[in-house]
Amino acid sequence: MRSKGPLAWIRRTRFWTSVFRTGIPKDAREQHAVVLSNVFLHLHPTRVPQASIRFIRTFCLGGISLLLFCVLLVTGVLLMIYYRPTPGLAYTDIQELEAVVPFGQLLRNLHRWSGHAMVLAVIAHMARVFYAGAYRPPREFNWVIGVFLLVLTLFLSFTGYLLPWDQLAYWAVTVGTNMAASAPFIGHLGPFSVVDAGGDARAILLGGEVVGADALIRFYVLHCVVIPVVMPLLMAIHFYRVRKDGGVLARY
Amino acid sequence: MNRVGDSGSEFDRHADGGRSDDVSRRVGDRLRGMDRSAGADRPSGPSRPWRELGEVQPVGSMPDLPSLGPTVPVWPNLLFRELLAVLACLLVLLVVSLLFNAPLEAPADPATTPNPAKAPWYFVGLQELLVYFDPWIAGVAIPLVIVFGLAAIPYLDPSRKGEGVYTFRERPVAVGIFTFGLVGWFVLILVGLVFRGPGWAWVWPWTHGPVHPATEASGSLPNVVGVPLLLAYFVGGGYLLLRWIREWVGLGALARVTFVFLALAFAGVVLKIVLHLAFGLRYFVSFPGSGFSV
Repeated sequence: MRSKGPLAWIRRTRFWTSVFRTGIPKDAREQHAVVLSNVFLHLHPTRVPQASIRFIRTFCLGGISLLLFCVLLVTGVLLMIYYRPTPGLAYTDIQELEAVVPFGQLLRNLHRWSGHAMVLAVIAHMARVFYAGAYRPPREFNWVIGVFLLVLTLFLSFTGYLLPWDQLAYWAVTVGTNMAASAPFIGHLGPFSVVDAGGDARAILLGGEVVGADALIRFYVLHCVVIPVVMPLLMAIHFYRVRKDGGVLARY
Repeated sequence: MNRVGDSGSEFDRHADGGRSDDVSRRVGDRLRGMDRSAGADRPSGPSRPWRELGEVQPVGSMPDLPSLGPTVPVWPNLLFRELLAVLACLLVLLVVSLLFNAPLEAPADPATTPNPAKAPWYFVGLQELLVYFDPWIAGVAIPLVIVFGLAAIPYLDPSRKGEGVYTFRERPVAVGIFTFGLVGWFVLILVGLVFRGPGWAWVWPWTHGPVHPATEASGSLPNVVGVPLLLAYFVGGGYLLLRWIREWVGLGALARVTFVFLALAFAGVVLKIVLHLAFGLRYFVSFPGSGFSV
């Protein structure tokens, strides 16, 4: 019997069925078909061991990290519309964002707290995977990729930290990047230094000897382009390997 | 002395020899099994229609492998839970973002240095280590060794215990080291964030101003004592530790040396902090000319 009503009619149109080809699954076969035929859902297999979807197995931490990354992408792109990365404009752009742009303060809050939450979620995810011994062969290298993703998450957060161009941002990044000046050999303050302040590791990072306009644009490009492009690549490998190695619980 | 290998701990399950090779063989078997699953010799029928949809065989169903129990369709079982988790997280984010504004201080002013200037919270632990180490150790060497050590974990832990399930009692060495490092990292962050005031002096957060004036540890060992001590620690200690873990089956020579180096480095950092706090030790060895001081 055909269901009635405007929504049911829409779901029967040729356009709708061409987009959602399986519809809401009605039996076991369609339940599997809907996962297999959707590019997002097919990150999952069609069936999983019942024991592996208990909350305590993962605490959803990897998924939460991915969710926060997506929230950061969306809010970050919106923030880019209102933000110009030069010392003269950056700070006032943030002020205007908060005072003038509709929901601007909320947008910035969402981005800020999601960024902190993502660092926490990724660390918690790593701890969970460790305590579950989920780096056992053949997953060793996927753990290594995870460590790289953690480092990139920290860099992502750190490069974003500078962009508001307030005292908090400026001095936190000054403190952080001063470490690079102390690197052995390639930092001008480090042991066995072979470089001067204008050409050491910190100068490469900042584009100068102090945090200034060059540093701001470098951090902006790293934060908005380089790291957000590299991370999804590693994430794709990370997820694909989890999937191919049998999901959360597989044993060999 | 009770050797790790003797005590029935996590490292001795390889004693039956070459479990790592065993694992590779099984993974190979599984990959070949995946090829076979496309063949006609597989049972398929109305009872398991998803076979026809190209499902990869769950590992648990392979011969001579422990079963993972019954399976359920991802739709709706897993996807519903994921949707719930997403909505819960977005709700929390939204509420937090409505209640608390992101900080925005005065515009950046290179001429006005705040005291103290603190790094972002996740790097404050390293900043706190500056109390105990020169910047090239606290800010460069230690973070590099931490990242390297984390990445090396799967190659240094040959145990097969706990795969996807939590096992604390069965692998106390691994769990102990990792937990100590993780807790230590957050303790350093907490100290740096909450208990450090102007000049990085210790403050109680409920008082104004430092209770202890900033003190510089002054006592350094003379190099005549420090250099042999440091050599003895890394060479002699390394030799003893290597002998101690020789019963750990399943680790290659490279992995053993790496493990010993990381263990000595980790213990060395803790030891230096303790000696600094107890005796005001500044350096074991110091070469002001080159800037190399430990």
